[in-house]
Amino acid sequence: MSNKWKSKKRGVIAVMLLVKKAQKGNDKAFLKLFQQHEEDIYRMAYVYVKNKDDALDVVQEVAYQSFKKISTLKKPEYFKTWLMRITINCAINIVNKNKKVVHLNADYDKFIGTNDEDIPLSLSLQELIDMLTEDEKSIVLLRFYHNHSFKEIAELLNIPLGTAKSTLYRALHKLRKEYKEGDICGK
Amino acid sequence: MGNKIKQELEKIEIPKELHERSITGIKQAKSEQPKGKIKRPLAVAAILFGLAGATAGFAFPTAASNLPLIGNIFKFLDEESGFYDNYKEYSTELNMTEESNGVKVTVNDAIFDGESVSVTYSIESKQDLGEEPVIFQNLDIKGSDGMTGSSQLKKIGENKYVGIMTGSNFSKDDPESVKVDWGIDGISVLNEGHESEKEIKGNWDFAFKVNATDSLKQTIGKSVKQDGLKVNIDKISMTPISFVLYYSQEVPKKIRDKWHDVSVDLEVKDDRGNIYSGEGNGGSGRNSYDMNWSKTFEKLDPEATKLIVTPKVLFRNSENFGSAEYKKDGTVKEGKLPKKFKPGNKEFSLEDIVIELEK
Repeated sequence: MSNKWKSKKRGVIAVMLLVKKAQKGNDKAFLKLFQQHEEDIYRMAYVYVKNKDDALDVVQEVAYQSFKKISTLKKPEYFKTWLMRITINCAINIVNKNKKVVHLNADYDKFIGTNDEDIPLSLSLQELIDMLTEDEKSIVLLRFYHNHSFKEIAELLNIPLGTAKSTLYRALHKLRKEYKEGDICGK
Repeated sequence: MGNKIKQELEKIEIPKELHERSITGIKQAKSEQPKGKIKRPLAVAAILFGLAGATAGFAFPTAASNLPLIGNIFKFLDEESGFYDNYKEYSTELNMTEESNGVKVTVNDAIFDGESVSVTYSIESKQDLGEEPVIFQNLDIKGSDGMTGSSQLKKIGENKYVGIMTGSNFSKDDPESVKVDWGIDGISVLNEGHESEKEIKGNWDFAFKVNATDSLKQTIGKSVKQDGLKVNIDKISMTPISFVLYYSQEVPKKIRDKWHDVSVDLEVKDDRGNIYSGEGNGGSGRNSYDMNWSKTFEKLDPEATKLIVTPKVLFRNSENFGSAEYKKDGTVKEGKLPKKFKPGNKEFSLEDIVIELEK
């Protein structure tokens, strides 16, 4: 028990050492840190931007911005949280840019097609992507994918605690409702 | 619910070009990093000179049977910032070796600039300690009220490593020398994910005294005030290796009522266009608002006659980023964000303070 805790703590310290190096401009140290999270960043981004190319753009942009600004990160132990905040911002920026463009994306259509088999699931990736607004996505992802508390989410997104809670409940309500409708249709 | 979301997100396939894209982003940022540290060309020349005798050790690290002679560990470890450029020249050679559990630890050099002790050390081991082993025991300066520090360690050959450990002293008086204890009881080996994999237990104890380098102190007493927030530069201490700025902040009630955490950092340039990189030494104060800080910067350009200091203020209300307070009995009290503060942060610069350097 105590050993496990110790090793976790030391893991954190190791991350802190890497952050310190990265803050001095060491790109190799930064890459080591970043690659531990790149899959998470990609998947998070995908939920917002809904296609591979834009999600990859988000990853590159997050890598660029985070290394550029790493010296402003005062508490290295919050590196991951900090990265996720940058990811959410970058993803939403791209979504907003794309809103002005009408999309006919073949990848996306195909994606819907394959996902039809998953209808019995009470919550599918597709619903998550289609049903929720950007704000709702951020909160659902932070709460359930990254296991953050409401307090942490409010902090991270710079919103009041009550808003974080009510947005999550609204999102869950939407998802449940969608499931019920889908269920009836299925029958 | 959490697992469900995780499962669903796992369905998003990871494209094979993902890692390439991360690298592209980082490279792009790297290429935009500010260059033009003071005296860069000279520093490069000095590295070549300093390492000339050691090249064989580096070129064939696996074949080397002895610890390659590194003339200047300070410089070897700090190829990026130039922060340690002049340290070797003014440091005290100690060359103290302790062996325990098949691992030899040598303290090579030590230097004390009146504020911080920096110690270079080498490790030679019979077993592999991985790419980046870590020593978790810090330097202990006798009689100091509190300390902060940092460390780094780099592999230079098979089972051979060199590193720097620093510690900054918090004490009211200006000591002419410090007594340092460094009791190491383990070296941690980290795995790929930077988790601690195993620890080599042992007993490596060092105790030594280091005299302060010559220093020239100048009282400044210049301040800048904005909306009641006051930043005062108290004094500067210049040594052959670095300069240290001592400064303090005073935070009025109306800011305290709104912000839980207030800190001031300094950015320094001179009248010759040099921008100095620095390391904060931490601070202390009677409460978390009215604090005294010090920050160590790289060696001052001797031609400089003025320093232009820009205070950077950071207001922060955060559950996560609260401050930690070190009590006299060694316990740490973590600052919690009281209910009255609304989460958020704000960053801005104050007017420059110009310091005329006495010659």
